[in-house]
Amino acid sequence: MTLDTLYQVNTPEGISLRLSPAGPVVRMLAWTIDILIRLGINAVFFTALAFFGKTGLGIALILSFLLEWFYPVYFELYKKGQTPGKKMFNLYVSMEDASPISPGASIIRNLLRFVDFLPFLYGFGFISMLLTKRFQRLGDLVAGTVVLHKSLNYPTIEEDKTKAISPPVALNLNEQQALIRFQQRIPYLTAERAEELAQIATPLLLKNSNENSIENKQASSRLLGIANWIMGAKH
Amino acid sequence: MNLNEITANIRLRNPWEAIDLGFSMVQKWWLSIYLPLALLTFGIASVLYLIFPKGNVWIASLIFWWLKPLYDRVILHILSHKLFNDELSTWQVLKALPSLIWNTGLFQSLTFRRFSLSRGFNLPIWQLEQLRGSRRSERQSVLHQIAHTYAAWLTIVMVNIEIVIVISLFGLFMLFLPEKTANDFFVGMFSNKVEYERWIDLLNYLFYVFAVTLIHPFYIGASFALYINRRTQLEAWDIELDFKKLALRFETLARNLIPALLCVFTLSLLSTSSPVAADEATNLDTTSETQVTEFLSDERLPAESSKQVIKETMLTKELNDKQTVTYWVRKDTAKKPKNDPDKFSFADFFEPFAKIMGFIIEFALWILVAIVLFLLFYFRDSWLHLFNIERKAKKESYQAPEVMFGMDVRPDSLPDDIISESRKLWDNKQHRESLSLLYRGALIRLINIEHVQLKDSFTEGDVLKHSQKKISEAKHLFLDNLTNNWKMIAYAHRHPTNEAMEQLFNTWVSDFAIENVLSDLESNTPKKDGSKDE
Repeated sequence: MTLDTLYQVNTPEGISLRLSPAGPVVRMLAWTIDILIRLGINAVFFTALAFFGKTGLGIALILSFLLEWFYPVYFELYKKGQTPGKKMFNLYVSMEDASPISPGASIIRNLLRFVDFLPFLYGFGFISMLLTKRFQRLGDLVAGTVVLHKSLNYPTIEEDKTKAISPPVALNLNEQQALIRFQQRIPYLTAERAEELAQIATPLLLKNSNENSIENKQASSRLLGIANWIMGAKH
Repeated sequence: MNLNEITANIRLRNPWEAIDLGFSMVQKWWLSIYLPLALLTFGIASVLYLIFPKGNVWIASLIFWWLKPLYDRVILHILSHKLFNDELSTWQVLKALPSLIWNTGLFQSLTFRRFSLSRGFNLPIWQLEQLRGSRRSERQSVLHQIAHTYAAWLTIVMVNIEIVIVISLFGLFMLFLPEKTANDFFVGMFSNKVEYERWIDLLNYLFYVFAVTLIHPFYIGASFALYINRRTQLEAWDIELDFKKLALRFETLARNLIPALLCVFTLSLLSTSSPVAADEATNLDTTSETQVTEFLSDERLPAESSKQVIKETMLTKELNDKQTVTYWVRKDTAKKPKNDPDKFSFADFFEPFAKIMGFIIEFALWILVAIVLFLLFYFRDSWLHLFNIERKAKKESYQAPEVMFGMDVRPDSLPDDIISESRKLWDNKQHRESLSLLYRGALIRLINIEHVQLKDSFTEGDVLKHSQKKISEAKHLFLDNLTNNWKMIAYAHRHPTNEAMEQLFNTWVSDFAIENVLSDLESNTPKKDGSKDE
């Protein structure tokens, strides 16, 4: 098994969901965004309520308390597990089995921020994230939650004009996907590198043909043709 | 560099995920990394401490911090070998130190490149690609195109995490100290007034060395993973790996298969995923690469054994739980089976008797019900009061109290002319006695003339409340006023003004001490005064 951050959750249908837990670096940046937002809101509270003397101060303190503890809970429960900071970095909170976070778990993981915060600015939280495989802080461990990366959207590509070529032999899933990725990524590769990659796959192209090698610049366009065929173009 | 030997899953990741992969690397290979690294860092730290002891530990800390690029190189050396499946012993790592010092641009890193924000990300170009001069800077600018932002943020965040860990360690240490000692430390640290002990310096130094040793591999690991990801993006390493596997498969196929089997393959062209080809593929694919891209569960079972699993599952308690629930059901009398007429039945024989007995018992029961109803009516007095219905009989049994709040409220205890007597007392400055007499007179009037049923357990407030419905509005207004004045003098020793008192006397005559018939007429035009004395 090769090393990866992913872990799998098997659904009853036999489909395995691949989940990608988010580590401390991106989480700290997301947290920074959130704390800046909270600071901004608090500043508004305190300046607006400063006109009401001590009563205003009291109300502002209560509001800032509620904001500190229930801001994440609100966003986790009603905004698909994403506080504004997490949304900015494409993260979301969910249960370990990728189901939506439950209210109890959300409250627990946020109340336990108090523990993670110890002894100074999330010291325990960082240590816990560095030690656990899914980068969970203590609150996450207790609540059974995990912060995940939202899956990456591949850039959509323009329709390829290359003529579709049927593959000389049937390809397995892995190979089909490799060809499709080749097609998707070719705009980001240099022409030389693309050809170099395509030359690696020549045994496929030479199959059932009498050629011994393929001319330069030919391999990549023929592979693109096969990729097109796999993507559904049949002409 | 042999891509086939790579131990991490190569796929195109988003840069943050790549950073996380770096963390996973350190988590997985922690022993191979931390053992040589700790030897190095703690070795250097001890030497520095010996050179700059007492009072100059901060210089040792500063130099230790400045030497970070050296540790970077050692960590990257270990990680890069690990990534391509090359196990290094601690001794091998330490032996590689001289070449790491001389051949990796360490001098530049320690001088004018020390503060580069992307130094972790750039390191592989120096150390692994061994590029120098203009080629290096071109290469670096290509790699930086997308990754530089992430590399810089990574450095900033990791520096912060390092600081947090140092302060956390110190904070944790402080938490376990008695409060007084902890305070002294703080005072000692931030002022020069108290001479604090040297070992605190040493402790802080150790915490710092420990934090650097702990955090730095994660920084270099993440930077390296970011670099690998950027190269994967540029050079499509993932596709190269898959194409190599594909090529290997077809070369073996070409060598091993007899030409007759080729017909099967040409036939299978019709469908993209022929089962024959797929089987061949899995047979040849001895490595577990399918799980890299197959988005299906690893734990799929063959059909026969999954059938077995399904059977077992269907037999589990959860799916076969049976419960016995008992409840009453009305018997369906209509469907009662008729008895066989020929057969002698004990029940049939006694049926007429049973009917007669039933009639008699039913009749007797009805009589009983009638008797009970009659008795209930006859002795209604003894039980009806249980339902708390107010009845005349109760009113008749009412006994007027003789003493209320220590006052004699018998009618004959009063003087004939209450007002003049009270007025005389008031003029004599006997305010209390005067008001007491007036209030007592009011109470007696309520009891005897207005027929308000006062009890000796009532308070002044109760008297007011109970009399509200019984007397006219004007009278109640007066009573309210009087009660207030009385309470003020009785409990607060504050007597009303002469005018208020005069008004009370007047209202007594005009509103209160009059016959009911008259008062009923007057109650339609309530008096305004008498209520605002307080």
